[in-house]
Amino acid sequence: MRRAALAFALALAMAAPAAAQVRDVRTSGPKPFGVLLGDVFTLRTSFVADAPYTLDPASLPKTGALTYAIDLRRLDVTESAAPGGGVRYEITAEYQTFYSALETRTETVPQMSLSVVDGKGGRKEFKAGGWAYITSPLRPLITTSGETQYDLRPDAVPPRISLRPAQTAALWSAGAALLALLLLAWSRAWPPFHTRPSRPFTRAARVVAKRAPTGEAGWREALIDLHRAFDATAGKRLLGDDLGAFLAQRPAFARHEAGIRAFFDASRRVFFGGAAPAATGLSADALTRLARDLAGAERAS
Amino acid sequence: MRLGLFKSLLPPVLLLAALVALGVTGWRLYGVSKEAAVQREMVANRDVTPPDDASGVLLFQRAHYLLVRDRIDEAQGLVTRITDRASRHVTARFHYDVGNARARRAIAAIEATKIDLAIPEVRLAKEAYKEALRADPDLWDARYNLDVVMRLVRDFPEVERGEEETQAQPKKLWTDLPGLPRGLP
Repeated sequence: MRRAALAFALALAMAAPAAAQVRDVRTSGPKPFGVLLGDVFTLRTSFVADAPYTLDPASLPKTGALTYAIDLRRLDVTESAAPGGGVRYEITAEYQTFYSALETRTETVPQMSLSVVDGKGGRKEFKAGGWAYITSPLRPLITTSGETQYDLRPDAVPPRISLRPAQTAALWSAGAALLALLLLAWSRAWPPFHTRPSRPFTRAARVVAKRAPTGEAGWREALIDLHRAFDATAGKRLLGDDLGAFLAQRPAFARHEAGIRAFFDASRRVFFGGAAPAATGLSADALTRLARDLAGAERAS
Repeated sequence: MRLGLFKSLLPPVLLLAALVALGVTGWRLYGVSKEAAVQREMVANRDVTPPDDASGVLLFQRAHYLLVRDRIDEAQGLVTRITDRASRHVTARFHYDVGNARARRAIAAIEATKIDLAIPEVRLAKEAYKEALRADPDLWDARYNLDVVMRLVRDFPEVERGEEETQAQPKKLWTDLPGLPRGLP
């Protein structure tokens, strides 16, 4: 049947190419037997429409109940260029059968009435996609095992709502939050990481903030603390003359160059020039701010 | 410098993201545990109405509770909410349970020889089983029970098929007409 149709289409195409708008119509399906009530099967129908003809999408069947026995569940159309010019259409149709057979018998999927249009009012209708299959009953006609005909399968019981996925997700995010907190504490040298050797400025900033506002002696001690932090960062005793090399090595601190130079200048005038702290122009506030900025720069280096 | 900024900003941003995730998952856990508590009440045979924002599974539990007690109309009132919120798997089982409740009514009517009462119930049961199979073709119990009710009151497909075709033809004509005014509701 299919071969005959193919041969006919081929003959038509050869004899009068201008007259053939639709050719190479094929339908393929799954095994055409052993189909039971409720089964879903897919039929693939393909054909070639010669230019300028194209498939009229309005002629495609609508999903839903097709006949008493068969539902059309889904319909997909794909287009591709055909080798001999024109467009090859492939229609994938998913059917479901609702026929409760009493005996094994043949059922048919009705053909689709499709049409192609040329955009100038020309229209050609054709049929495609028919299929026949053998459907079988689920149960015998007469029960012999003694049960009544009315025995139903039991109700479906609702699934229990499980807390497990939500619990797992909450646990994972709690773990992630803890890890992130630890990372933050480590990065800022918070306890228990406050004695981290690679965070001398962070440590110094804490001490400076405490000591600098407590008068002249505290201010001097804070100055020394900040010096020790510079020493620890540079890995040697850092003097004002070495600042250029130090900043070139650690670009993260370069942003605060003016503050650092002011600090070294004040330090020299107090410790070597014998000037009073108030005369240096570096207030306790400015000192604290500089220490905090340097701690921030240290984290970024 | 770019890398340094990244290094100093990464830990607080990570912590913030983790805290947001913790908040979201914690809130979800709270919601799920509340639902589970309502479900436990229902399983313990208490007549609890689920909250408006209940999940599909919880609504199905409520429908199951009603259907087992032959309160089909009340259960049917949940159908739109269940089909909207539940997975196809759960929706199929809801329709299947509706079909079972209808089938039980029909069988009781047949056993009491009230065939007139049984016929509409069988028709509704068939629709419910078909709906279940449309949502989940692998629900074999629905196939079996559909077969049982199909044999309770047999359709006459040849007659129906003829009717359908004569009805379908003009309908199709109308729906294909372009620009047909639909009107306001």
